[in-house]
Amino acid sequence: MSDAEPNVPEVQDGEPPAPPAPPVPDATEAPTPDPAAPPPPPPPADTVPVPDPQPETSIQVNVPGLPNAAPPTLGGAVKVPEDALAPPPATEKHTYWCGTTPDSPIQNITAGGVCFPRWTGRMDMGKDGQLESEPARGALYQLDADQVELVVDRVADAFIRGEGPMAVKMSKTMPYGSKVKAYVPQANDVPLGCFIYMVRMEPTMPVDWRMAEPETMVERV
Amino acid sequence: MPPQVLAAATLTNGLLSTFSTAYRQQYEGMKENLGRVMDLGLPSVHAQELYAYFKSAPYPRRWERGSTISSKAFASVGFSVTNYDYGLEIGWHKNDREDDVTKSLFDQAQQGGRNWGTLMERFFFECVNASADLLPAIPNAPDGAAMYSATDGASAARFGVTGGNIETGGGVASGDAVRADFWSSVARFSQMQDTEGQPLWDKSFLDAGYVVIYGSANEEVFREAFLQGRTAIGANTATSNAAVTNTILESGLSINLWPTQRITDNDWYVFAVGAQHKAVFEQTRQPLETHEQHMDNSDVARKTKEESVQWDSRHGVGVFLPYQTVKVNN
Repeated sequence: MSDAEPNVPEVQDGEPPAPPAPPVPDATEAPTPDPAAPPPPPPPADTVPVPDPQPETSIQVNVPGLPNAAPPTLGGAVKVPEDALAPPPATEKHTYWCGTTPDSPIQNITAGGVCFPRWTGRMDMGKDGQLESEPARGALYQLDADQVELVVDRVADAFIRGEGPMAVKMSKTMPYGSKVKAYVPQANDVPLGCFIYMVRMEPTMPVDWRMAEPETMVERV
Repeated sequence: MPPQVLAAATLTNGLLSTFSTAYRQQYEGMKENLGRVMDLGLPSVHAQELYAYFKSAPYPRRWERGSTISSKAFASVGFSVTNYDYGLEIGWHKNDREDDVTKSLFDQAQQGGRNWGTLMERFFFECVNASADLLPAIPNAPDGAAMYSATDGASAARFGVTGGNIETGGGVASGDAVRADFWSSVARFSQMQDTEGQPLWDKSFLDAGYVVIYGSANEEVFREAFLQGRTAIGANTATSNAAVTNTILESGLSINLWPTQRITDNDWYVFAVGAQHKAVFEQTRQPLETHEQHMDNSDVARKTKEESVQWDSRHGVGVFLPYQTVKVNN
């Protein structure tokens, strides 16, 4: 027998050929039939095969726009266990108003992946360098508790050194060029939080909330 | 033989020539790097230029038999950029010029030329660092948000991807961390969407190469991250001394490293060079002009013997949609 014909049953001289084995859909559902066994007797003419009952794990989901009554099924459908559909708790997000103060030496500051801009909106500048348009102060973000915590951690770690255009944002635990330098405090280091604000929006905010002076993340002394 | 009579203009011409040579050398050298990340020399004919761009073109849709063909207008966004004057004057006393045996006056002119050549680079880094000095204020991008922001001006995810063009970094303590953030940035580019919700960039853009700008104090770790052929594997297994290949180096991507002391923290920036428009652009209303004052042409110089040379130009700087750059925020 050649290797190219693996599914042909071996036939002995003088014996009738065995009937072909019925297809087996899954080894876990039915035992492997003996190819030499006679075929099973046909069911009596007055009986009807009864399908297997639905597995207990089956669930019904109402799909919007579709009738709730399930159409006839053939049975044997693989279903996702209900436990697996249990959604994880939804991440709660809130709206935060974030930005830099007018005296911040850096106009837009990024901390914890969140940008604290001075303004949002179109910025048309006049010939004298003054704003001619009216962009809104700061920006509004939807943030969850983890994002807020990361921002707080990063802001607590950061400070501004220098004034005016020479001012730079630095980190205490991850000093710039950290492979060669360690943080050495200087007298003019100001916590970054003194120049940025992060205000959680509440349903009862005053109408002119965006014109108010928000508290900075670190209180100035 | 009587002494040769020299016009004062002849003397100042030497200074101007020295200045111009230094300026051109500095500008050309700067342009090689800067031209990859900033559009330079856009024409300008007004005090304030108005710009507008169309949002993404609509995509074709299935046309049902018997129905009207899908139609959608091009939405557009407008913004303006104002020109400002920039100038520099170098002055000296006539006697000092005549007594200048060390040629320090020419050295100063040379230094002035080099400094002028850095003007565009300073524009660029003011926008990147969001710290205004030359500019009266750092312009927002046309979508209403700062150059680097997770959301646009309408508080929607910028460019259709969570995080926008800010990547929260893992620090710069190791080359591994920098490499991971670099790949995250490339992934961020590939996730950006146009205003029709379709992929913004195709593979040709992602493979066109990148400029990585970082603070020069982090030189070692960035060279290790991008240029070291074999990198140490994490020292927590029996194979702790093994080395693995550098995924960036072996990817074949063209990476241009740009260390600069104009960045003074651990944030760093990835710019994709395949974009048609750069994130920052400069418009030139008036190119560099030189003017000299000496006793032949200036009442002030005649009265005070104070001579000078001055240079001035007019420029405007704007921020376009910054979809070709990602900031790694550490």
